[in-house]
Amino acid sequence: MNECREYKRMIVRFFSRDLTKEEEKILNGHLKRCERCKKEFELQEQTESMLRNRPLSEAPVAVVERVLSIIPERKEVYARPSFNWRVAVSIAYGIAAWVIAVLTVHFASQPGAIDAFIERVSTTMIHFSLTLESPSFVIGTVIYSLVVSFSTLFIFWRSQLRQVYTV
Amino acid sequence: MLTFVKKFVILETKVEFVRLIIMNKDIDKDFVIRLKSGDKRAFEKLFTDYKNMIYTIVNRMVYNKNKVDDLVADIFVKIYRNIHRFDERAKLSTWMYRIAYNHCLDRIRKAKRDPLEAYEPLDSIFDLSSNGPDAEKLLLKEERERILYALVDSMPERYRMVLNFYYFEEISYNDISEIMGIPMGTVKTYLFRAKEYLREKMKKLGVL
Repeated sequence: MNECREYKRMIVRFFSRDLTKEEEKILNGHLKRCERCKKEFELQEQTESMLRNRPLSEAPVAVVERVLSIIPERKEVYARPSFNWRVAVSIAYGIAAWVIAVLTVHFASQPGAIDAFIERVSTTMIHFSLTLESPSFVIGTVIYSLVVSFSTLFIFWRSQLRQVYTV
Repeated sequence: MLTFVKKFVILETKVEFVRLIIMNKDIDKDFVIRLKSGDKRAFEKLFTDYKNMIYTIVNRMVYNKNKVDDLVADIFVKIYRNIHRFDERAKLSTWMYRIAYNHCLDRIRKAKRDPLEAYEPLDSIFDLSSNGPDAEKLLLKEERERILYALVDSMPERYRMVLNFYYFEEISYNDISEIMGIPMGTVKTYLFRAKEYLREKMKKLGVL
């Protein structure tokens, strides 16, 4: 009897998927031998089935109308992709480093290229920095690279922005 | 026999799982973004999909049935207003059930302090021990179910809700623990005790 009490607990745990493989084997063995526990198992199975099949309550129409009337209208809805600033800044600095490296190699290999470059982008920030005689063209190049990088990222981000739905 | 039953339970769980996947197919990232943006149609869809589930949770949790409609409406307004706080990595259904559960719990606690709002425990309206069920009626499955559900509804709130959540949508122990804010071990204990209680009561009443 005492032994069966423990098996009854195991039957309840079996239906809660709380038994180990080993325990299941032990329970299975016992159910083959003990009629009383087998009956107990069948009763528990019936209860489980009834609980599992308990129907949901239907929300009354009044509640549905009430909730839907509360939600305010919106004219336009845009889906904005999530934007991770840490990743964005890392990418921007990565692009900037490449731009600096390419420009450095370019200017180092071609004497006079700087003048040509400044002339070509005279309206840009690098020209601005050089004409102000700031600590030379390196700072200008860095600023220029960062501006280019962030602009690229911003354009990319904007391109991801799309209208999902209009009321 | 055990293996067969286990296979059946697993199969039933799989069917339920597929049903949930089908139901949740639109609960993707875009859908959450639309919800967070205040898209009315997205919220209407969410409401249509979950209205009966939330209604059932509230209905099974509170005794005062006159308050169910108000509570359900309040819960959906709360969901709408707080959707921006929802973390996409979590399960939307679990998050909503937690809001529903906490809202009802809060209401029950307030009602206990207010005698005009006191909820009536089901035992007093449906006294099973004094009105023994008709033996002939017991043969009917419906009658057995009616008694079982009444017994479930008369259990203390925590046991009742663990049991309901467990069978409601095959919600995992982990999710029940998250919804109710109790450790997973406690969920298992409550479930075990609730089942034992039901089995004993049903046997005592001659229903099983």
